[in-house]
Amino acid sequence: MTQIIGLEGRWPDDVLVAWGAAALLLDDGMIRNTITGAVLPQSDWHRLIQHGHAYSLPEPIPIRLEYTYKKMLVVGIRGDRKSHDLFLPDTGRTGGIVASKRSRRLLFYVFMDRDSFDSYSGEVAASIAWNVLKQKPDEPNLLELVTAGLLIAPIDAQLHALRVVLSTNRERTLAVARAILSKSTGIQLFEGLLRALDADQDVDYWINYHDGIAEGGGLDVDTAVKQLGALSKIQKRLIPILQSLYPFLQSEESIPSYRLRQLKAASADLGFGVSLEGRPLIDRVARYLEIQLLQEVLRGNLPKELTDDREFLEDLHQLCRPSPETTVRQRPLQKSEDEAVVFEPFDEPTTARHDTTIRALCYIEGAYKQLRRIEVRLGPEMGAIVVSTEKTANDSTPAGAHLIQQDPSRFLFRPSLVYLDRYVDDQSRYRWYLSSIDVLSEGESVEIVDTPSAIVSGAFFRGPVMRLEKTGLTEYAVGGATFQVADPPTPAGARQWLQRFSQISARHELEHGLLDDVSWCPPAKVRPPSALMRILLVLNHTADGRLLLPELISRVNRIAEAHVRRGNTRRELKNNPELVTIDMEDDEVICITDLGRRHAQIYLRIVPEIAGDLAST
Amino acid sequence: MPNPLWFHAFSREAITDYFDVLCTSARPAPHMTTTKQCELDLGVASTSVYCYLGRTLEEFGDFAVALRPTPLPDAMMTPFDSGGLIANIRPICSWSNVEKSAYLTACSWSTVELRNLLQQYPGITPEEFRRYLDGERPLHPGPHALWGTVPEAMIWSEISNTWRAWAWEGRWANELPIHAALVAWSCAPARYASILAYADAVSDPALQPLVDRTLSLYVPGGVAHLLDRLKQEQLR
Repeated sequence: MTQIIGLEGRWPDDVLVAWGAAALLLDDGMIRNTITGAVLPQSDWHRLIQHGHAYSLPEPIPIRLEYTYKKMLVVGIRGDRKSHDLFLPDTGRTGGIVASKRSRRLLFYVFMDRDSFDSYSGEVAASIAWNVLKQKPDEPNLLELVTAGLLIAPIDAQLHALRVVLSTNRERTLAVARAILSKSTGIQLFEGLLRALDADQDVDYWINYHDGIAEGGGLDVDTAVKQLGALSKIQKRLIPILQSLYPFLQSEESIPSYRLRQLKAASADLGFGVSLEGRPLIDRVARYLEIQLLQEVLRGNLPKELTDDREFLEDLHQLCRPSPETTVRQRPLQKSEDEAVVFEPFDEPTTARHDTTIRALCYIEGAYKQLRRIEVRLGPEMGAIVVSTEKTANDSTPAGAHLIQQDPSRFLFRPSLVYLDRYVDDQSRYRWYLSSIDVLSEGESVEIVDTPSAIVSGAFFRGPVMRLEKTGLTEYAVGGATFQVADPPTPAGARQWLQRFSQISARHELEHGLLDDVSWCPPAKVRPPSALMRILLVLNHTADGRLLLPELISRVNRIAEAHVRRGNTRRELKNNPELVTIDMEDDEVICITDLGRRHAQIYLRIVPEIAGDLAST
Repeated sequence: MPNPLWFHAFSREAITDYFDVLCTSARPAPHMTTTKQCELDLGVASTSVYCYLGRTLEEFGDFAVALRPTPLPDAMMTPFDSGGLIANIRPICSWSNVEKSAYLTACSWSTVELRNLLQQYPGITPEEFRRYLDGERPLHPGPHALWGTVPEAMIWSEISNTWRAWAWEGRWANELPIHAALVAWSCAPARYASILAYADAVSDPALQPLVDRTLSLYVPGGVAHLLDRLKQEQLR
């Protein structure tokens, strides 16, 4: 064990928090600056304290030897001060906390590195911003709280915007904030939030329809329901995007819906407001920010997370192009002129390119539009794919589809072999087209080329061909195993046999996935790895497959979009003992098993680009 | 060729004192200090402001600025902490003041010669300059091994000597202009609220742009983070 005995810089008595490089006492009696690595004798350390260059902790904090050369940071909090609880890290959620200590009224936390600290400080800033916005603006001490938050997160855009609004010297505080943020990526968030905070009660936003559905003025009720319904669904899809842009909104239990406040007489102009009497400031701010985001979407700036979300794009299409004859315009917040709505729906296959063709086992789980559309399920964890039974990508009729029209019960919930073509446009939005479909007869066998990957959702494994044979009325054999399909088949029964088949194909993928002559059809858009896979990837990246738990969480957080709770990590260990284990002699050390390594290595073959993220951890 | 920066570290009670320095110049303390006594003992002609090349001299700091060499006025530089000659750097610390003064003079060159001096010590390859920035002991026993006119003294190989014995020191007589040469600065994060309060209160329209430009160059996290961040910049 080594010990942390101080932190860099002064910590005045009237200041709530301090943080900085740690002073680490080494075994040889020398003291090391954990960030720069500079080493000095203890006699010099006392001199530095005397001259105000360093602060000595009341009691040393023991540190495991494994962390000796990490760029550790210490945070000190005065536990007897008001609002100090807002600075306490959530030790179950925040990774990278390697030690903590309470010394009388002082609390100290040691972070493994700057990334861990930055995660923590971001959370503190968001929590303080949310707390301030929930209060009434004339509550005392809000400015003091925001300023205290800036001690931990000095260039946080949210806190600087609040400081401007709460300041009694706004013009100067605004100039100071802009100067501090001028070189930061947060300057646009700052300006956006400031606009939301400053918006007066009457600010509004308009979506205006002309001609087409609005011909003659007004909207038919069922048309209005469709348009507002699409808008409501769009709003719900945009909430996670909004919360990632403005983290303080993550603490809000529900983001309010768009508020339709005005309908202009004899027109189809819909006016949305942001301010409601008697609601806290956070309500107005949230409404303003979500309209601001909608504005950008209608300017053609789709969040990248939604560019291939088919349902979202269909709702957007409904909102922006309800009929070919209808013109849609928007009047942005705080503007007096309308502007065109920009939206290019993905409904023209000629603008997209053929990406891949798969030959896979599936079942049809639904049909609509007089059997012109069917829902095809390829795997228990995959969403159903909707395809046309009328035309392929080349405008011809899919082979076998006419049989669906004649007798849909012949296909519903039964094992079927499909050829599906995937087309992708230049914004990574994709669409599937049915090329052919066939149900097996008794005694018939077919080759299944592609199986849904058990490692990466949406990918398809192309390994040694699997032969599926219908051996009896209800029996099927594949890959040395069998499964049953009830006759007549049922939805629950279909889920069961598909689950069984996916287990067989998962074993097939794990067994053959590291051979040279296998490949995968990647998903159209790669989703972030699951919590478990992140753990496996990080452990697989180490030489010996082992890491201390705080370091594991910290590295996982760096490749994750959301934090991994320490509790979640332990849950993954408990639920997946065949993939990850705890060291028998040291329960802080997590180890990957051989099977876990195989999972990770196969993942890397399918998504090689994540290797770059791993290298940066 | 590396892009070295000069670092000046100090500590003050009042934030206004920091901004006096940041927006104008650093000056020697008006009263007698240990530094001034060393200058007297070594026969340094004027009281000076001191900087160190690549990193601060102190291993921990409350406040530091990083300065680009180009707009700074000429000064003298030596390949060790001159103040260390008095008490720390062996074997010089056991010499007489006259011998110490002569040694300092022999090892002092104008900052105009910075590029040439760096080529000789520590060297200008990325690896050589990185070793210097990491505070690693030089490969030569002392400056005499590189400059023939310097008296022999094994200050670099002497085992009890530390980074102070091989850091490049710059000495600016009377005043060191900061603002025009400022690249970045930092201070203890606990001082940040006072910095904001000061900045908000600046009402002089001539001073406001200076303060704002200074604020835009702030690096959060303290002196250690400043050094860590600028290490890569200097190696480019």
